[in-house]
Amino acid sequence: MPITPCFDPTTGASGGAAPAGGGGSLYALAPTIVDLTDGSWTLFDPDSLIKSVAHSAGSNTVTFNALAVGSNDYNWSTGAVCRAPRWYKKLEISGSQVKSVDTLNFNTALVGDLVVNDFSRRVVVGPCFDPTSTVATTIQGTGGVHAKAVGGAQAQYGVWTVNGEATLPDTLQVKGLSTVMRSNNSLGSGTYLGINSAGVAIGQGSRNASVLAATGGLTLDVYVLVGVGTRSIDTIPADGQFKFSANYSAITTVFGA
Amino acid sequence: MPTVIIDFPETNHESISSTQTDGTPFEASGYVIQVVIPDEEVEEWLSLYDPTSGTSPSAANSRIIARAVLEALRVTVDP
Repeated sequence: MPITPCFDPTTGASGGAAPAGGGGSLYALAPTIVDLTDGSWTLFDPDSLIKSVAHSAGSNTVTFNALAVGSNDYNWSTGAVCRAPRWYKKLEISGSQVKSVDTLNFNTALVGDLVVNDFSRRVVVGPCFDPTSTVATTIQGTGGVHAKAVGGAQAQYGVWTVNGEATLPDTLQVKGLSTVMRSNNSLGSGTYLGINSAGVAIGQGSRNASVLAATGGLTLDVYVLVGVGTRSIDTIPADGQFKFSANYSAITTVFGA
Repeated sequence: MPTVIIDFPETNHESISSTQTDGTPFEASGYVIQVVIPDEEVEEWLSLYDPTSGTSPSAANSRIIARAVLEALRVTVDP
């Protein structure tokens, strides 16, 4: 599925802005709203943790099956193994498949619901090379990340790189913005801002992926991945839920030789 | 005597999930302080360090790194 803007940010007309290639404006791009129920996403869930997913008013509510014994294998931001559930699809821009050699800027806005939060959670959204692997260094993901402890009133937002992350610690932020850049078969780095309810940026940071020449010389298709799981070594109650919204935009630039 | 440099504007309070030098994963909230060891100092620093000896490097040399890091922490926490 291509990235499909919902409306023209200038005129408000449906269908999105004029194509950027050939002189179209990249100013005020409308993001793609992640709707995990829209049929464009494929779920990879090696340990059958996902019971169901629903989408309403821009937010996804994920319902889990019970996880009696927690493991960092379900934590996107640590360890070599990642068996956490994830939805994925090929990253296309205006019908063109994004490749690992392309200079890609991938931007995310994440908002985690503070009420629907039955267990300590982590969400990642971003580009990757192999969404159906259970090895973090094969998935090769980077992007925005959100985490929240169960019962807490505050949340973390930041940037995720392969199996690490840098986030603004629990504060009164309500939204996390991030951008990751990758190019030339390498994973680059990412930056983030934490935004409070007044729209003020209250923290920032960045993190290198520290992965160069990631593809063994091959040119790979780039995918978009929405990963969900636990914040660290946490259990999940039967029918445990959390709710979040995720929007993203992606652009590639050709700089020439 | 070798030196180190602190990239002070990059000092940041964050939560980090990553891996330690020995491969141990960690997640911690704290101050990230970037220590720059100039290329021309690397050989001298490594010559002062024996990973099998608990008394290496010397107290005087250890203080160079310790004081640089702690001053960055002090200024960040209590500017």
